[in-house]
Amino acid sequence: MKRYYVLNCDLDESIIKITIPSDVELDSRVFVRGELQYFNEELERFDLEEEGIETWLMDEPDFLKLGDFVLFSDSLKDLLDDAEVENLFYKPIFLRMPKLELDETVEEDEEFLDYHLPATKPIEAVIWNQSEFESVGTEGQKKLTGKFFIEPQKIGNFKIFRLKNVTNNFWIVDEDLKNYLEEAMLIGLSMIETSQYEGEVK
Amino acid sequence: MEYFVMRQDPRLTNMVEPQGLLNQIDKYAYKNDERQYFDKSAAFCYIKEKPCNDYGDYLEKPLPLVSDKLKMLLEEREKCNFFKTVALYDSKRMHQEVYSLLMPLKFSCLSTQTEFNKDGSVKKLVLEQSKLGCCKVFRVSGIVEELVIINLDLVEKILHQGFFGLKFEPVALEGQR
Repeated sequence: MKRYYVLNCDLDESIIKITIPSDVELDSRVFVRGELQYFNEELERFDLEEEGIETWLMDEPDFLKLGDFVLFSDSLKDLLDDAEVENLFYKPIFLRMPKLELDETVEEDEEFLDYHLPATKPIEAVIWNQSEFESVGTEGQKKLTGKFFIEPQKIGNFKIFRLKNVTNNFWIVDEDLKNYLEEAMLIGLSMIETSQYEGEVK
Repeated sequence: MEYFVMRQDPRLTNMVEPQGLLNQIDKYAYKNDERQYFDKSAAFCYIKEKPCNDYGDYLEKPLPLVSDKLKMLLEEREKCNFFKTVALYDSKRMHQEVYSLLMPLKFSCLSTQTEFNKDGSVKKLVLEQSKLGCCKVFRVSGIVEELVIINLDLVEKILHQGFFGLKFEPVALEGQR
């Protein structure tokens, strides 16, 4: 059976301190439910907090989880473009670096890091009778709590996708794309085979 | 925002007619917007023999095909479209033109005020504006026809750039007369 892998952010949460300005409203219909008719490409700016910024200055993470959303770095997006991934649509996000008081005599311009907030139409593909889950809410949604399996026929040509009716913030890749991403040695990204998934770490 | 159905101009009787296109497309994937099954590799089909052929920028039947120039405009304005290259070949004149099958997003936005004919086809299309989001090109779930709907901004761009062989029919929105 074909193997699939969950993208996982393996960074210490203390360095992912990002503030979404109060006037920015990310549309969960687009980025969580995949209703692409509400998608727009307008640029948004988020703020990076000073705490933990040293890590960012050394290595910019390539994959970040922000609650219900994820952010892809420019490098990760480029890799996916090179792999001819065409089912993802990106909202550009600038992460504004905090002004560090390194040298007060130097006036520095604001510095931004380029990130991308991906959206895609999710696919109903979990083999429920072989997977560990609990039902959530009244709309037939489920939360995967342990190992789970995917029906390859339902995935068609997609190399990366999200799961319909699943509340976990999952982005899943096939084995070819997983190997390709692994070779790129991305920062902050690990991949767990769906059969090895053990639920969310508390 | 106003919306329009994009139509092939019926006054142009010599417009090219692709033959056998449906045999080369996964109709289920296209109709149900199951993009994961949509094969983007190029297709090739002959056209019906006619005394002369007009290569319009939009061919509506059997599935929506757009010229390269129109594809570029649609790609630029609406990122969520899928395209598949379709080469149309005129065997009599040994001439080939490249089109693209247009697969816009398809979603539920049909108003209960939509009227149907007895055969199930749409008599009067009415859309729910609140469900249209910011989509500029899309299809409508829940109807038999594969209508391509585009918004006014895009219609204006198309008209401004002088595309050939297409026309636009206004779509009613719920609450409008």
